[in-house]
Amino acid sequence: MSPRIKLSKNILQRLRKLQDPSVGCLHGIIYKGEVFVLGFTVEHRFKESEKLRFSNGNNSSEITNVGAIGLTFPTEVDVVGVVRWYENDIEGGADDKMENLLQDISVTDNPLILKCRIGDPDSLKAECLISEVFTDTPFEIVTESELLESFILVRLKASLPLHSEFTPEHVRNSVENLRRKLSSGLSAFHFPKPSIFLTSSDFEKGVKGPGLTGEDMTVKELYNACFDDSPKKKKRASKDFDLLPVKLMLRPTRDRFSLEKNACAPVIQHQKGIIILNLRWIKYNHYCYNNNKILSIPRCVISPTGNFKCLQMNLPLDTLSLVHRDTKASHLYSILVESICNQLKFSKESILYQMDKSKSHGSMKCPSQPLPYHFFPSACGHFITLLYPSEIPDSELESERRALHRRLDLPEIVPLFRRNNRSIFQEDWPPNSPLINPHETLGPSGVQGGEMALVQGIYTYHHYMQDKMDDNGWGCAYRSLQTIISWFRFQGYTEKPIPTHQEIQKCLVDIGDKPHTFVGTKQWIGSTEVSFVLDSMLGVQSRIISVSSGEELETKGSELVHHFQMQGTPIMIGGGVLAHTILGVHFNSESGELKFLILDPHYTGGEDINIIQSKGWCGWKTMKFWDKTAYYNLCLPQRPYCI
Amino acid sequence: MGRTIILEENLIPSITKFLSPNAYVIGLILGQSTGQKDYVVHLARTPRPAKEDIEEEVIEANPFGDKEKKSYEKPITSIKDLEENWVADHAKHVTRMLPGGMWVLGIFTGGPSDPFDDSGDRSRVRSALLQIRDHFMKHSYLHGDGPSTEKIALHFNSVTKKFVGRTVDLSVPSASFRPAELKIHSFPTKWHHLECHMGFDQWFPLPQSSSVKPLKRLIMDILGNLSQDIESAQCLIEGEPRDKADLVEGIGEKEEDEETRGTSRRKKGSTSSPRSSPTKKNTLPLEVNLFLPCNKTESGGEVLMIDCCGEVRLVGVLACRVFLHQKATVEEAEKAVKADIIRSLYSRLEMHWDSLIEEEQGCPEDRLTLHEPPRKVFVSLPAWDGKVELLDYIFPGEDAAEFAVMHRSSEEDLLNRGKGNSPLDCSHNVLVNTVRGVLSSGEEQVGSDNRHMTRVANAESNFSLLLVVSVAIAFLAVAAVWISWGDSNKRQ
Repeated sequence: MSPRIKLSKNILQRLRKLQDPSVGCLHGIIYKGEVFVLGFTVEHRFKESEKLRFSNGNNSSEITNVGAIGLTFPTEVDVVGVVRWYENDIEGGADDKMENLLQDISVTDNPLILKCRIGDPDSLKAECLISEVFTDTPFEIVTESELLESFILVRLKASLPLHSEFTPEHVRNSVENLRRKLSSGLSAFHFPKPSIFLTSSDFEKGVKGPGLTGEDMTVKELYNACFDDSPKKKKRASKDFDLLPVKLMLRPTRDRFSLEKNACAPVIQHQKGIIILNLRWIKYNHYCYNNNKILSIPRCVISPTGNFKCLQMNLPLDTLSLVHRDTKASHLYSILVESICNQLKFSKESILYQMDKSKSHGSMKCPSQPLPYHFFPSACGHFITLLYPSEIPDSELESERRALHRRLDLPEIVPLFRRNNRSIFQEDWPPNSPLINPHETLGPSGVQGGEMALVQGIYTYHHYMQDKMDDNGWGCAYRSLQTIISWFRFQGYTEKPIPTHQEIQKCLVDIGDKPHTFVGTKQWIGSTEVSFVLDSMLGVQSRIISVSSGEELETKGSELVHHFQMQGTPIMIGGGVLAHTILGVHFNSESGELKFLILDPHYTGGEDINIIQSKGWCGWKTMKFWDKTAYYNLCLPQRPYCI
Repeated sequence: MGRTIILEENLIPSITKFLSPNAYVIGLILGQSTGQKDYVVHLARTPRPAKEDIEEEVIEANPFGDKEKKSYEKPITSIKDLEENWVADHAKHVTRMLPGGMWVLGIFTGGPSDPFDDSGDRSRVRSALLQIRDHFMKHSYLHGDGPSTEKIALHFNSVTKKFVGRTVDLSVPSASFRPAELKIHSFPTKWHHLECHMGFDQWFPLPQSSSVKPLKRLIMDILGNLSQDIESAQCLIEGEPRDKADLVEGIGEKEEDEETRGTSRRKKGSTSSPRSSPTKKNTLPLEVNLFLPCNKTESGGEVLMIDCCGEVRLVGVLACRVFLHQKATVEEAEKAVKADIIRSLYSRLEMHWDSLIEEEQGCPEDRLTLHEPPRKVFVSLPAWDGKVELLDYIFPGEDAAEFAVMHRSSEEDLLNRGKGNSPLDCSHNVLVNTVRGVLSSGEEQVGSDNRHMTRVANAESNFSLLLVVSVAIAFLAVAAVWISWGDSNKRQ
């Protein structure tokens, strides 16, 4: 039986974009004979060597560098096939590079092959390897919303203590021991509401919980059980997967039917004043009580010189698994165990990599915690999880990121994998903090036809009276600036915190724009001041557009559409006594109709999306919104080119 | 409303049999305390220390107390002769032998006149109770102090043959003895039986800064961490999470209904007639599993590099069994299991170090030392027809036969288990009962030196797999207490 191939809309576009003859891996989910292909990684570009000379230097280690930050897809997304881009006509069969990749596929016996001729969108064809034969196979296209309906994202968070002697070998062993322990049935998974436990024995017996029976319980039912009681929160945007959070638990107790043969009452082994070079588990003959017992305890090879160093840290785990809704809940157990083991493997590599690096620098620096970050670049269309060592700043990881962009064939001019690019999950966002993208759930603009262009990415809504700061009547431009800076933060361009009113004023004093008496006043600022601050604080340049009256904005329709398409940054507009943020425009060049998506910083209420939308604090405005008699300045921040 | 004390009829002889016309019997009330009720499971007469021990002790405690010394040689003819020290010490040793969820509930006395009639007697009893509590406060890992601040004083009047029960609230400085309702049951209450096997496999590096600390202190630090972990654990009983307010009573039965197969795990309907409650042989204890949350954040992102001068490894499996009164809630069950683990680990470590004094430093050449604390063995209480067990500890090197002898001789001391009406054989059986399982390794250990017990163990294991499992448990223990209760007394 050939599997049914389902390509996500997103991957289809991306496959057609690649420009070099290359070969890569396809990543997807196999569920009941269906293969959902979600993403790809480019493993080899045939013109690589030529290309690399143009990009900057040290490229030989690019691929291994990606290993150091542990590129992972959500668990259950596996390598399901290979993809080949041909410069000329599509060839039959597979070449060496493809064969190599095909050999590593273990999740299915019928790997998938996609072939595509560069620059020819209709050339894409799918084959399936059935009984060693490449067989043409039709494929279907699934939309984003179909994927959201089919899958649930399960997120596991935990923190595991790691103690190890400070040598690569011991670190490796310690993490391996941890993995072994976690995969030996001692792990359990806890869904706090309404307290459902998933334990190793549930694989046979089904999932238990108050009022739940369920050998046949599916992940969907589990999700509903977890969220039934609480009113469903309005999802920030329809592009989010349903998220099922779960906690890891560890069982210290032993099952009475599975007590180890040589289990003995607790004993304490005390080793003192020596250095242990080698800790191995061996059978150790020990006279335990009256019996000649074989006790497995570590045997140490000792050297008489001095003591040892011990590394102690918590390994934070944060894994994602993308699970089909109809998967049996009991099957989730092994999926979650796999997700932990996989992340532990990369944590270990990250620590070893750091130790190796500091050793080559001749110092014995402490490795830092590998911290997991999840990314969902919209250009990529799926989740990517990376582990960044906490002490290594983004600025030192540029070559790793560049390699990653190349592997995923993403543009190398925008940051996508800096820490601040991480995906924001609702559960991580503290209640009553500024709303994220309040415009996303608005209805249509009302303009017929034409082009609509909106802010790209994520920002937070900053307005009057936030942060216990009474700026009613004078702070609107400051708030608009904060919204713009939040956008640059979420897009990864800066790690600087959002500045307070006072910090903004101080910045203007420092660059000589304002006298020092300006700090602490309630004086307004305008578009030019906003551009100065963006330049000084973030190094972001802005274009300034001036219009002599509100009416004149009518002539700027296409310019603004172009801005949102190319730059996608929020615009600050100041005129008369008011400042606003423009998040998008809808412009019909034929009819001349033009509407503005406005985010109004003059709102003084609480963070209530319903009020904000219904009262028009965030909404589409017509030309009438602007004052015909006022002079307006628009500040259009420009993205820097970086990665 | 005063408290209700529930006492089994067949526990009464443990007081009455020691009575003599002019002397007083004094001892501890052991049992479970819940809400306004106290279930008595055992009455343990406080032994009087052997003479030479007393002398030393008294000299130590009161170098000029010659007068008092003499009073020990006579029988206790007045409550005023009651030495708080004996009782408090006894309470400590007895608590080591109690499963989690059981406590020293108070003091009993037996004799010709009521202690509650005399203010001197009253304050004596009260100060003994206070001393017991103070001791438990100092050793929190023992989990010795029960949930109620009200403690029992029970008196049996040897003239009128009547009981008088009083309680006193120790948390109120001048609280008086309040009357308590005493219910004497003629048939044994049903007890729920839960078990758990706690595995340890922990590695602790010893920082150089700790090298001045004796190992015992280090281990107690480790115990403190373990104790916190265990307190934070969630419990599953029979594989399922339970509501804390649910009764333990319902737990076995539902599964029984669901289980159509022949091998019934829990006998149902046993609640209706306690007398015909199922024999232990076809009932497995309810199994409890603990789950520790893995969300340690106290040290957050801190990464430490520690210079170490040694390491400690704690490995092994600790068997735990607890018994709960008929109306116990899941919360009580969980607390009992957790307390049992910590109490037992603490007790065996304490006993181990008490027995070590000289060896503790060890030979400096010995870089690797294996400490084997005593192991737990379970001891059935005859009054309960084996349905409630206390526990005891045997040291490595002690075999079960030795233990049997000690056990018999010490019966009179700490627990007075069935003395008088239990001939040697009987106590031997009790022992067999207790040792038949141990953990698999324990089984062999007992067996090798004692054919009789091996036979029993084997016979039973052949007889029924369930039985072996029901019995499989562990041990460690304490010989020191048995051999020389007086000795350990001395050290304290």
